[in-house]
Amino acid sequence: MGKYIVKKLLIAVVTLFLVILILFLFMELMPGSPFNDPKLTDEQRMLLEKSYGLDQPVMVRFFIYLRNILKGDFGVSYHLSINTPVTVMIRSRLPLSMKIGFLAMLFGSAVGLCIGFLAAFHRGKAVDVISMIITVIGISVPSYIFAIALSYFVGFKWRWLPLLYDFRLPARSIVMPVLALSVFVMAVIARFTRDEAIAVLQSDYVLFAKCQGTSKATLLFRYVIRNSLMPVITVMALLLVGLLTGSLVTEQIFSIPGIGFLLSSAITSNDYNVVIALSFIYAAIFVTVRLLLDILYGIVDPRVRVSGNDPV
Amino acid sequence: MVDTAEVLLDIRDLDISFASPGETIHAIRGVNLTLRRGETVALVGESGSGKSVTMKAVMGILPANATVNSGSITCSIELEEKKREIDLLKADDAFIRRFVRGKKIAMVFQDPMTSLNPTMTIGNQLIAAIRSHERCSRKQAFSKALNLLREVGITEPERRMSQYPHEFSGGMRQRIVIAIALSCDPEILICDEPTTALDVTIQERILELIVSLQRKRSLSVIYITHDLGVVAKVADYVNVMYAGRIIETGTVIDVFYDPRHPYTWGLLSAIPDVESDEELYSIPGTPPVLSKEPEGDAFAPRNPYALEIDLKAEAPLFKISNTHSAATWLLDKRAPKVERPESLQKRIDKMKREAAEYVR
Repeated sequence: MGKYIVKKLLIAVVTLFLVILILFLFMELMPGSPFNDPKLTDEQRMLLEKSYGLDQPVMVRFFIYLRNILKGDFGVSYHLSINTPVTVMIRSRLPLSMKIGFLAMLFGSAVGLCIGFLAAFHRGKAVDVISMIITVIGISVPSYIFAIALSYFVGFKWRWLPLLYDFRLPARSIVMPVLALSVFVMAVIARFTRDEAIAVLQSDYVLFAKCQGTSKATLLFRYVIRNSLMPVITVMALLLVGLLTGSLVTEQIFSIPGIGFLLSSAITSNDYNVVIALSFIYAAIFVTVRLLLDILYGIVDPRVRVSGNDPV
Repeated sequence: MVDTAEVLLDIRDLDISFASPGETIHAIRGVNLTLRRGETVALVGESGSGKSVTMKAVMGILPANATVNSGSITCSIELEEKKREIDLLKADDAFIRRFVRGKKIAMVFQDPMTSLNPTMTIGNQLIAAIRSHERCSRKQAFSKALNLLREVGITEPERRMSQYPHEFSGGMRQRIVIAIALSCDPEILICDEPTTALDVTIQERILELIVSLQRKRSLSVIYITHDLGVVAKVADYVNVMYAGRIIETGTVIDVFYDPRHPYTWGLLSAIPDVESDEELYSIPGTPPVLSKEPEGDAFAPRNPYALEIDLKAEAPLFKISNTHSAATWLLDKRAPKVERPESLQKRIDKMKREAAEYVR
């Protein structure tokens, strides 16, 4: 198990290094600079770029950047909030995005798992058909549609909850974004759980256990649920990455001061350091979740633990 | 020869159909089968002939789209110290779970690679099986599980208890499956192609294991198989199934030495023989799809000996002796006399000679 974890950890580090490199090179390819103001003369722009060290060759900048990252310095903002360290900007916004994402995940998967198992146990019956219609809608309709619908009815017409994010009412303000984001999670997990549970229910080992007169409770918890959960965990983790890092559009709709909102503004204004730092955080969260997932898989599925092979 | 051992399981006129989109498949069309204490009955036939469905009906694990149209499956079950004849088709699921599955009748499936829960240790699976019918502590169940593993020939059972199914070979897994099946001391063991998924050397050992366990525990065994070699080795009675019916039934001696149904002739001729130079025989055509009732006899289109009546009506079961019957019009008084194919007769004579030598 130890060797398995070390191997996964090394892969994670290499992945993150490559991510930074590629991000850096891609930013270089992007047209324009952070100082695109038409009022600036060429000399003024050169001077600005020189003061931030942007006149250096790209590889030199890359290694300076890499060295700074290791010290926890992601540079300063050029445009959005001039000369504020990027870490400060992110630190004040990330927790809110993560909180909303985490709650959406929790709510979405709890409901999704229930619907999925219920549908699987009543396969072909009305419960199954209705829940599958709901999941098709949940998967195919983008979450911002739900966000707009919610904010129109609940926020604007009925005035139950604040229409936009309100600093005085933080708890009530995140109810709608959480609900809007959880619909997709709920639908994907319900669908996946149903298919997995049906496959497990038809498996030989469930049939054999049934032929041994195994009680319904044992059959349900130790055979069906446990074995169907494995692949569902993967999907959950990958969905979680998308949610923790905030949703660009949903944050815009409810004007939530999270990192999704920050990223979209940073991209439009060429604020390099913010874009790279945020993209790096996205990648870091993704890699960390994958790593945790691999370790979790090793714990849940004994076949992975012994062989040290990739579980997925 | 009249068999007087106690009847444990009696299937009468079983008739089952499956609903699939747009059609109904009449899979079982009147099956009769009797299992007596200590005896071994084989159910032989091609895939789709209805062998497994019949046994699933016994275990009460028919898929949801199956309907039992008629028939009965009687099993004598001890309830409050009194033996009672129970029709398993009429009993409710909770009753079957408590008194039949695993307790009275256990079933071993074809593929040991998929019969065990991949996320539970062997020990826990055995213990769960034991405790599904017995009120005992984990400790007692644990030591019983150890004994079961020893009984099926697993070495170092203490270490093996905490291992997962993927750490065992196919043959070992089938031994473990058998140990689990026997965990609540059932009287009847149904083996659905127990050796088909294993390689040949292991097949032999698993068969020997089942035979020795059968003797030791005086089990009654039903084999579902298409391997006549297995049947010859282990069975007392043979039932040949075709298109949802039993078309020939008798003792092993009856069916192997004096087969009467042309389908049985075909099956016997199709056994590979290393000493023969002749081309291996295969029965022409494919079994009928039972989405509509066969016109005439179900085997007629593949039967080189089909009579005119075969195309019009299904043959009833003709009695040949007290133990032997076959459903073919060739046994009717009015039928022309048809001999078995010569090559088959040679085979039968050879089998008889070999058996005689073996006894000597």
